[in-house]
Amino acid sequence: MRLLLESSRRFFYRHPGQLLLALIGIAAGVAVVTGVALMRDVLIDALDSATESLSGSETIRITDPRGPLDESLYRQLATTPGAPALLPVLSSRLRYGDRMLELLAVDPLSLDRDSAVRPTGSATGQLLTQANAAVVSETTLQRLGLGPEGVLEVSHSGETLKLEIVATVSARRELDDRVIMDLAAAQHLTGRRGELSFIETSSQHRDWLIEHLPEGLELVDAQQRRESAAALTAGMRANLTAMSLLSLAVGLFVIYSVLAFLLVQRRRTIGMLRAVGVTQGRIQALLALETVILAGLGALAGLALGTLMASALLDLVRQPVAELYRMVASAGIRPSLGLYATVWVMAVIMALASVYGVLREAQRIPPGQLARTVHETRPAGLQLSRWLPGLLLVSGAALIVTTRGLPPVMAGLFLMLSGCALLAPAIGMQLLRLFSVRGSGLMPRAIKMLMSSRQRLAPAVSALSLALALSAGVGMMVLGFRATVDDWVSRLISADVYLTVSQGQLDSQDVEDLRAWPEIEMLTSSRQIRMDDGSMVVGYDLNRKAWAAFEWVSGDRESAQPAVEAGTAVLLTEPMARRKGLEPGDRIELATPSGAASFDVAAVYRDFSNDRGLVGLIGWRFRELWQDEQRDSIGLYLQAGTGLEELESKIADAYPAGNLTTREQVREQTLAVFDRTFRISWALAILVGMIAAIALISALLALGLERGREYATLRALGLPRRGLAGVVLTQTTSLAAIAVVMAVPFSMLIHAVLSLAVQPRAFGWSLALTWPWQPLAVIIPLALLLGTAAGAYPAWKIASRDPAPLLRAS
Amino acid sequence: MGEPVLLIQGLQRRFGTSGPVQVLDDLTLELSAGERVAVMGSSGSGKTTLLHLAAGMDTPDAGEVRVGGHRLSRLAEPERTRFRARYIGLVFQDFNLIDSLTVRENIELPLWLNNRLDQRQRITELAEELGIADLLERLPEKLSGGEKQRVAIARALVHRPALLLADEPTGSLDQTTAEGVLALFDRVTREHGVTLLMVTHNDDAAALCDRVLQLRHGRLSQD
Repeated sequence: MRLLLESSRRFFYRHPGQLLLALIGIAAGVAVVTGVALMRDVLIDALDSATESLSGSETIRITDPRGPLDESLYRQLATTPGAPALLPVLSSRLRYGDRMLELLAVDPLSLDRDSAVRPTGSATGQLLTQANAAVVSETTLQRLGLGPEGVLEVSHSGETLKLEIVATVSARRELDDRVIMDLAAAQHLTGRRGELSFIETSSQHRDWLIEHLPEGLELVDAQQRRESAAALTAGMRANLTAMSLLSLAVGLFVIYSVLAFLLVQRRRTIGMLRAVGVTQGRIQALLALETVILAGLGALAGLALGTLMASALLDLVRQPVAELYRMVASAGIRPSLGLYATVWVMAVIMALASVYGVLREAQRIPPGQLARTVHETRPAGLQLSRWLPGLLLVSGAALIVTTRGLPPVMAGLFLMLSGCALLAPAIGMQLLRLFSVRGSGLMPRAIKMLMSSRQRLAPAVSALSLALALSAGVGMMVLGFRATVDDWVSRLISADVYLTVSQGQLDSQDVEDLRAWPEIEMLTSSRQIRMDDGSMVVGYDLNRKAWAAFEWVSGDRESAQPAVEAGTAVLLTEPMARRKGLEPGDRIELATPSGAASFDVAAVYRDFSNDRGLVGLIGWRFRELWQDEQRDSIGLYLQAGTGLEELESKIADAYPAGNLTTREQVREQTLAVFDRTFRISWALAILVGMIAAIALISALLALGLERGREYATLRALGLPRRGLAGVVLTQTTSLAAIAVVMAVPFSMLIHAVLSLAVQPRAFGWSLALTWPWQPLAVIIPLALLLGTAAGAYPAWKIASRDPAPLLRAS
Repeated sequence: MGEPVLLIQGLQRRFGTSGPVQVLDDLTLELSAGERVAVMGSSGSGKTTLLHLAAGMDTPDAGEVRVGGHRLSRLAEPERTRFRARYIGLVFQDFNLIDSLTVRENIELPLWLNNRLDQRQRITELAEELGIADLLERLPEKLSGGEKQRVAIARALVHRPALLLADEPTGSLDQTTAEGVLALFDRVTREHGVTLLMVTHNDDAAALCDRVLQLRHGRLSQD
């Protein structure tokens, strides 16, 4: 075995290019999986651990499911005899350019001595005495591009705040993108006087809190917070998982391609080794060991690449999480040995499994085999029954159609794509046969030669068609979804302009005042309360236009409006109805400050604003139950002829902190958030495409080696270099063309499954299936170009070889 | 007497950079139209190198090769390739048929390369002459060694080359098959008036030729 290993080592030493290609192929596949896994972890890890850094211990949190806590509660608890150390916190979102930051306002004097953020020296005094003083971690300061003691200009509810950085604290990932301020100063700046988001204390005081806490308040421990974060981000993590699985599928084909390529190169050597008496078992053991070493090394590089990739792309995930779920995730990934070990072991096992066919093929190399050519004998690994692709497609479709959960749908999609991957080369080659049957020019001959290597090329065709389908399918889903959201938001936003205020709240009096304005024809208003599970309860005051703007998924306006206006029924958004399994006619119970209240479900309407769902009830009933007269926004319908500038001027006088947002601005903001949410999908799709390109190049190089003698014969017979390059380029472009042709139906399948099955299960909303053509219009020419470009190097390499040495070697 | 079909003068070819081996050393050879010459020599004596130089697949370090009056060394590589397609036929020891093309398509290759597909009837004529007419639609992998070599001969002759170069045409065949192929080779080359340069180890093959030369120490000598 030592001699065999030495032979392998020398082979790779003499062929560094091939070794590099193999390592890159494996590393690329592993990198995507590692990167996605690390990004997924960030979404649930460290989301709520920031305050633990403040208090320096495992904490428990007092919250009010109905909304913010009244600050008087803190005073009441703190002055109760035997009270533990309590940390009152106000949390709020700040925007810094495109970046979301979290404001964590605390009482600096309440901070534990061990607290990571307890400022030292004069900073505490500055925090207490200076209205706009803030503290951030050193890492955050660097990420924001600010110097120490700089001014941080952020936006809060549309108003610009200038915060002065008076000190930095040492870098801790839990404090990434978080701004620490004094509680009173923050309450003043944000217009949230007397409000707290939660009160935190050490979890060892749970029993005392249970004894002394007023009714209606909740105690949430770290585990519950993590579970809540996990539930909130489940949809996004599921999307990332889907992309990761698809990347893995493409990666496996790459590994197969690369290792099959290495086998072709050494067919002669193996034949000779067999001739001198090396057993089949030893050859297999050698190749298996090589695979483990190559996959192991490639996977190590992949882990490093994946870590870099996750660090580089993390913001593409963090930003939508901050915008959609109001959670500022850590800015740094936290790789764990466990994750690395799992991915590494999986990569090696998958590599071994994927090259099973290659190992079987090596076993079949007869002793004395000196040619590299593989004729029509199928590699053993691909001797799959004809019905297997069909079985995979049918079983995948059955899983998707008959189950309700997300994991079975993912598994179903994976099965269907596996079926597609197996079908792609066979159908593609049949299509190519049509071109090769007639004609006597270069193209039919080149294609005929290509077809005799179809088994060797099958993995590359599969990988390329899957990667293209993935890119186009995700693109179609995103664009189709975007069009649906655009249509929804354009339809839903019926008012001409929306009024919000930066500080304080609008209330019922404001609604009545505005209603009296001659410029205003009618108005709507809403007040929303975020529930602990991330869902919302909204109190609506709607006019006829607003009612007409709803798009009903089940139920209708005629029956829903009277019941809702009577205060006996509520509207549910589609995600809420799907998550709770409710439909019109069912009952839903809501926890309100006035106690539990039960309602009929009147109708379900389409909504893409919150994937945890939303319960809408009529405003007067909401105000009665929540004892809340405030409004988050008021929609203004202007009288005909009223100019926006005229209204803006009047609003500025009446509401100095007021902001007016036009219908178009709301639409643009919504779509901007949407676009940011799906940037990561685009990034991953591009990465997968790049991996597939590696598969294609390695397959083409393998083809060049395998067909080297034939190419040399053609040259000897008088085919010029350019002619031979033309043959090779025709072959590579043909490969890309069949991958493109097969990718079209596959992309439609991916689009349909993502839109009709994955999105409803992951986020709760159903999408109308539209067929945006743009991704295909971009990807088809790009893939053909890629196929040609990927073939350029092998074509040049093959065509530039002198035929004489090759013929002599044969 | 007309110009020789193949004229080689002062041919030199070395291989290797450190301590190069002089494979051909001031070699001279002349073949007249219709003449058949066998070159024999031990393994490594440079027979195949000579053939590759005569075909323009390799370039000499010194000396020149003229085929039909054309000096190959003055031609650029693309021109040499076109010249080879037009004027030279090649028969290899290992047949070197294109596995993915049928017998007919293999034989058709030189016609295609010379834009002479209008002469396809030559394929049928040669196939009948060589006894492979019923194999035309088969793939090479379905053929025996003797059949493959007959296909290779047909491919080498189909475009009526001025010079046929054969590299151990029976080297991969058993004795009986080799005898059959040689007889056929003899008849066809004679009937077509082909100018032949054949390198071989086989005395029977060499015996078919008008002249037999020995390649020793890089030079040719009459046996």
